[in-house]
Amino acid sequence: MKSNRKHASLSVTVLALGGLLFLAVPGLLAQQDQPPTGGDADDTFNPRPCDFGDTFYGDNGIDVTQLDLAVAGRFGNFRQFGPPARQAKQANWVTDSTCARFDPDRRNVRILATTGGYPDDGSGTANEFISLIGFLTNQIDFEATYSRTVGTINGGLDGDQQNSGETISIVNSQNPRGISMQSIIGNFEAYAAQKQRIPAGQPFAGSLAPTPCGVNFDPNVPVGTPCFPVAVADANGVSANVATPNLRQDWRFATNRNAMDGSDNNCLSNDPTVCPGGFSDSPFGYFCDDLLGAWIITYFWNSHHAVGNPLTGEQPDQVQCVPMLNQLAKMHGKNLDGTPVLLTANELNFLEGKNVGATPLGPNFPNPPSFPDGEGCMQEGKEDPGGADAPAAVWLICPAIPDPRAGAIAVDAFLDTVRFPSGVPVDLRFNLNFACLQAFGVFCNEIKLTSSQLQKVQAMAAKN
Amino acid sequence: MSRVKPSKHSRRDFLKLAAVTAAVGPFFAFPQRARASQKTLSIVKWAHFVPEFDSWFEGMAEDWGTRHDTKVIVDRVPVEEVSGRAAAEVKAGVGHDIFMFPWPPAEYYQHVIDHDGIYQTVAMKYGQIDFMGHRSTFYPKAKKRFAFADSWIPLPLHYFSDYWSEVGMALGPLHYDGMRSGSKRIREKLGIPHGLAFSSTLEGNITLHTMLIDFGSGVLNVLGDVILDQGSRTMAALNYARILHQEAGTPEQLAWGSCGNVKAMLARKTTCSMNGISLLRAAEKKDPGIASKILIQPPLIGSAGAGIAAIPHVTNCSVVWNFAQNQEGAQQFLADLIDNSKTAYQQSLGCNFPFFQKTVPDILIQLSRDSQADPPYKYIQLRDALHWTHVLGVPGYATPAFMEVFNSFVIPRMFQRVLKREASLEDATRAAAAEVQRISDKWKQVG
Repeated sequence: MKSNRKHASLSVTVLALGGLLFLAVPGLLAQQDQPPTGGDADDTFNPRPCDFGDTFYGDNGIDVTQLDLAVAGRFGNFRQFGPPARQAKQANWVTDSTCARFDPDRRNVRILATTGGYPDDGSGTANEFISLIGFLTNQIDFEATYSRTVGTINGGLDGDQQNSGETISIVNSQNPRGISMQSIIGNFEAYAAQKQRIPAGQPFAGSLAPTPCGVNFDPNVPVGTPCFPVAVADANGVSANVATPNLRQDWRFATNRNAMDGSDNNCLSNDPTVCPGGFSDSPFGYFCDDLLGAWIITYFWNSHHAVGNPLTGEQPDQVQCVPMLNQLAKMHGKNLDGTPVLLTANELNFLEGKNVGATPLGPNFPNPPSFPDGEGCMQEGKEDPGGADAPAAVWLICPAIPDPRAGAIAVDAFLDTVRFPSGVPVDLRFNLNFACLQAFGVFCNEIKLTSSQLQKVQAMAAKN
Repeated sequence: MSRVKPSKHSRRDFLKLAAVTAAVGPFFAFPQRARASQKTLSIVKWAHFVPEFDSWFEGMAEDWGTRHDTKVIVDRVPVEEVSGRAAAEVKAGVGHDIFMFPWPPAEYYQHVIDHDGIYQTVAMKYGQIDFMGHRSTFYPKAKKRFAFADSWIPLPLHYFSDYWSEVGMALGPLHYDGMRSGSKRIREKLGIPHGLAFSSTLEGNITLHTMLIDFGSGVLNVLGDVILDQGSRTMAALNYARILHQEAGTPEQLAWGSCGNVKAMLARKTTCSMNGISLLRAAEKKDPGIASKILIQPPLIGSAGAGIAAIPHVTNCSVVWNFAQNQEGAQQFLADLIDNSKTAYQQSLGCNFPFFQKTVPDILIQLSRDSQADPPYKYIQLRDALHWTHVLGVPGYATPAFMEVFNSFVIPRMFQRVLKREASLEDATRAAAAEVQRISDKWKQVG
């Protein structure tokens, strides 16, 4: 009965949103194949996400022996069932012999759990999909020394084809370009929003904790203040602090830091008429240098100004934070904690007290919040890279799906996003996009749905 | 019988010799008259952190003088005396023909020639100066290039790998949170403090301006006005420094003189510091064993969208005063200086990165194969320095108002008041903001 209610609630919401989609989205039907996209072999050319092979991890600076420990929770070794899957029989990954065939750098472990996230381009769109393969918790997870020779040829007719090959090496944690993997990953931030509400059975249960535990414990709150845990492992010892059940809203990823397509805002001219924002030359591109698609995790949370402190009786600040958060909730809705959803970097930075130029909260909020202790309404931080917060995840092996269209979202994949206890997702747009991608191989805004297609998308969105 | 060797000189040769003798002869007879007609070029430069560089520079300048019939005089002044010396020359209206600063001397823009001509000359050989050099030497309001920039020194984080290994961070602290947590644990375990410079020195200035930027604050707002952000991000930086100092600092750090952070690192009394690689070079010279334990990494990852960023330790800017006696020679010398950029890079032991990048086209190769480094590729961490280095005055230009704020140590003094518990975050910020506002207003009136 409870389950039926959950589905009914979700279905109603999906139908409502789907109706809007039907009315609002311009059509590209004329450009589509008939019958719908996805029905032809040429519509499914994008590979489905799979785990990388051990050798590829080694070549890219990851110590596979560390990755294969339980705490890293690597898909293919651990977490086949259980979160992020929501159903007991739903697998997070399956063995698939086609993986290595499509891409020899992959191993035959295909990822079904497809995590949704917002791009870091300020758009707030719900169109990033990633594979949360594993967690890195300590600098020792990176290779310090590694060497592998590739391309050796000793043969050919009469044995006259000889090539000593090239050596892929890591010395003192640096690749032949002199860059450590840690340094590369440090350019790519994934923004995680852990739940702040204190669970039942603990002191101040139900209240919002104003600070994370661990090294980021807010020095502006008294010792003994309840904190939300960041060093969390599941029953199998897997790092779980950023596992979906522990999040209050969906991720944001800086996949747009990619010099190849210019979406990192690179502008290589001193001429202000050419580059009004100034010269910008990002050294790394997400899909260029960060071949594992790994991230450093930046946590963000509501500060004590925003949520008060149950220990001291401090109340949320009614002058700055509460109105701002209410405004944000009007714009994007609320998350599992009942605090507002944040979609963009500017929103977070503004609430942290940074002047970001044009206010992201509208004309009633021209200035960012400011308090005497140096905090805003929100805070951010990163976990200790030396393992002091272990088993907290400091980094993620979590490649974005480069192009989730045209077959990349398989029919057996499922969507991993943050949901209310009712089963309703915090952001339904992920469900609709996922359904469109799964059914037709395109984003919803790239297709004009017929009524039957719309029904199909709605049904899928309600289920995924 | 002897033979008379025929003369090798013809009548024509004799006449030539006579003419030359007539021209030069008087100077043999009266050498002081020859010197009197020789031009003089006087240069005063900040004393480089790598002393060998200054020796080379003086030799190079002398050679240039020989080629240009000019007597070149080079004076060195310690970095901490540069501001006073420059102010004195401007006040007197008398001084050196070239004054070399380790930062953009924008506040003297009315007392210098427009250096655009030098840039035009150099551009014909090496192209336009890069973005950072342009913004360091151009004052948009006056539309004047107030200095000529030839090189800059990046600001990586130096850290002792053995100390940081003790807390599981052999690859360095990576970000500000890691710096805080790691420093605290090293302090607890080994009793050794962090070594970030917080005093009113060049090192303290660059460290703390960098920290402001990395916390999403700064002395310029997005509109380009010189105004200290009094909001949360400035106070977040102050609060961070307060906690770091409380958990892993020492009182003497607040009183360090010039290069105090370097001396502490060389004595292995601190775990890390932000500095130009002259620190590591000094270690290599003093004790290779110590040097081998020092690693460098790009600046710490900031917050509030700041990413990885630092300002340069040094922005080498030369000016020709508008009261200089030998302006023509000074401009020629500065233009010719760029021909020596590659040698300057080498003689500075890799400290001086060129603003005209074509002059050292193999810089990445040199960074990757350094004969003194252990391991030889240690300095490749600087490969992206141009990306993560922001001009003084980011997100705008190094304007006169900004540079007066910089040179009057407003930011270090603001931090020190908090670290010494003389003021709250808010009061320290407010006082500094008022000081910045006064400076800004003054320059608005100057025009």
